[in-house]
Amino acid sequence: MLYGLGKLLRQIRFLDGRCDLPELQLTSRPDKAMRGIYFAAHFGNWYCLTPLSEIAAYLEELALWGVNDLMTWFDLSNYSDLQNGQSMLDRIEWIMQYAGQVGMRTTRVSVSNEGFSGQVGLGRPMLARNAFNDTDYHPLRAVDRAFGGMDTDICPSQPDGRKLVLHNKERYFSQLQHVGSVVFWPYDPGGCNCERCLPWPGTFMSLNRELAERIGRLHPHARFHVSAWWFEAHREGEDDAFFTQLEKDSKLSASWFDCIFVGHAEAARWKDAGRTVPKRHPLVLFSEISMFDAIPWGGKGANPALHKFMDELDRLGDYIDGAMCYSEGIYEDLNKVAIAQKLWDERVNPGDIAAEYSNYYFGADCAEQASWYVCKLEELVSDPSIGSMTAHELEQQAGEVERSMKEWARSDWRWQLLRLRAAMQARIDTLKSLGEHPALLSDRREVVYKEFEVLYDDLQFRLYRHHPKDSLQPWIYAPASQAISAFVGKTDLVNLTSRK
Amino acid sequence: MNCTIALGRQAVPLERKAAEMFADRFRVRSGREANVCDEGEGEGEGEEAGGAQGECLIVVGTPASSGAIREAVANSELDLPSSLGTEGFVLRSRQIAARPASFM
Repeated sequence: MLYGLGKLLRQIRFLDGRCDLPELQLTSRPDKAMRGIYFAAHFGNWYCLTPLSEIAAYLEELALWGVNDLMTWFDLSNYSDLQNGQSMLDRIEWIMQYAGQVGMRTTRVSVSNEGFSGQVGLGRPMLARNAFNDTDYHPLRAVDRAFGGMDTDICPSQPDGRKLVLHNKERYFSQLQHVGSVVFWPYDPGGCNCERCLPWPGTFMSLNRELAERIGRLHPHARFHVSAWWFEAHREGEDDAFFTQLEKDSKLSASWFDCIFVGHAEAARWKDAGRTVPKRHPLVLFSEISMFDAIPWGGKGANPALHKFMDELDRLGDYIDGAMCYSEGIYEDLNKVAIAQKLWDERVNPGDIAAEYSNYYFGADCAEQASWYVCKLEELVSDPSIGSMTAHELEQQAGEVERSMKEWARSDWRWQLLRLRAAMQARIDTLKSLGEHPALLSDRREVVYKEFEVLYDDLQFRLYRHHPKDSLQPWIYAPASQAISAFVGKTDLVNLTSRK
Repeated sequence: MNCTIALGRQAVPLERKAAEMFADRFRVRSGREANVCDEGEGEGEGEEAGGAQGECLIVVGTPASSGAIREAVANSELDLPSSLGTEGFVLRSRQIAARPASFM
């Protein structure tokens, strides 16, 4: 229903003084069952700080594009208890209930062995083996994660640790109202590499089954899924261990879980290796659409990469039954739309999507030009060296497109993010070339940097709603002076492995 | 072109929400009126749906919720359960008496 009405809206050509509605004879059903978005509401990003009315409007748009599942996570490690996190808990609850109003199912991420800050750790990333043991050892803390774990993760193979994990989950889920599904997550954060927990997929699945029983008592209609995210990424043998669990599960007349969430790496590896996943456990691609093109993420504006994600889905084909896109904000809106369209109709191509998006959001008067601009911008984002236009040329083209836009389209954040991407890249390219001759043109450099700063601050503060005082992480927000240094390749703003 | 979106008498909350979402977006983009009404409020059932105030009439619903949709489906060769599943849709639009119209 919602996708159908959205399709109708997007077929209307809203022109100056009239609306053209073509004669339509369309019967359609989705090719893939799950078309979800994960709102990664953390670190003070757009999902954390934007007024709820804008989140609601965004959810409506996504529903009109066929998105049918919203996933969220309340990160226990950020809070000492539920009361301390009440504000975020309430925000997520509101978002989930509104997702239900626009026809979406709701899915909760549950990192299986996560803990509150202060239980076994303080909420610090574990960037080394047994990090923090020298300063504040805790016997129940999960051990030996060189990447992706938090010091709040709890070892579930110790009886007291397991009790604490179960207690945390019961406390948390007893507070929730809108629980459609729960997906248990193994890593990033999560996991424990102590001798008793290894191999982690075995411990993880046994813990999940126990958690599902407890949560199921609180939410009898909830469905349960499991994730295989990062299996085999840092420790060999985890795929085998996980498939051993699936074999055991296959012997049961009915399974306690439904879908398996996988990253592209896991899905492609399993497919290439000829691994067969039981049909009763459809694979859902956990598609990463956010964390590329810039750090801070989205720091250069929109990051359209339609071909990249179409190709990923084409490669996996029928091996997956849907996707849940990992989203850090609104700057990858086109990627969300592209994946949702491809999941609905696998025959659709990037050009069709850009055209439909442009007609709907930018108006029929300039749809063709805007669609062309989007395609050229995608070339710039994917590899500037092979793009047919420079960022400066594209910036000029954006100005041309904008001149034929109606005000409602010009003021739409989608267009502004797309327009800013070329404008910022043009300044970055200039600063990069001027930087190669530091003794020359310092005045010129200062002028271009100021232009960059204005664009960047507009992006961060007005469009992304970031607040520099809200202890944002550098991958969400960094001051313009630091960001430009990273964009021209002088510094590595976030080296996540530097503390190994 | 103004727009009227007609809902069936048994419209569920999601159908009403979807119709309102459509109307909001139509208004912004066209600068014209868009209203949501119920079947029977100034318009009848069937393809003529006469009496609606808009130049564009959109009938939204399912056979379970809307008489107009039931009638349209009965007059078509559609086998809805097998062709649509739980999320699919049918979209038809055509000119009626020089007035474009759609139904879902």
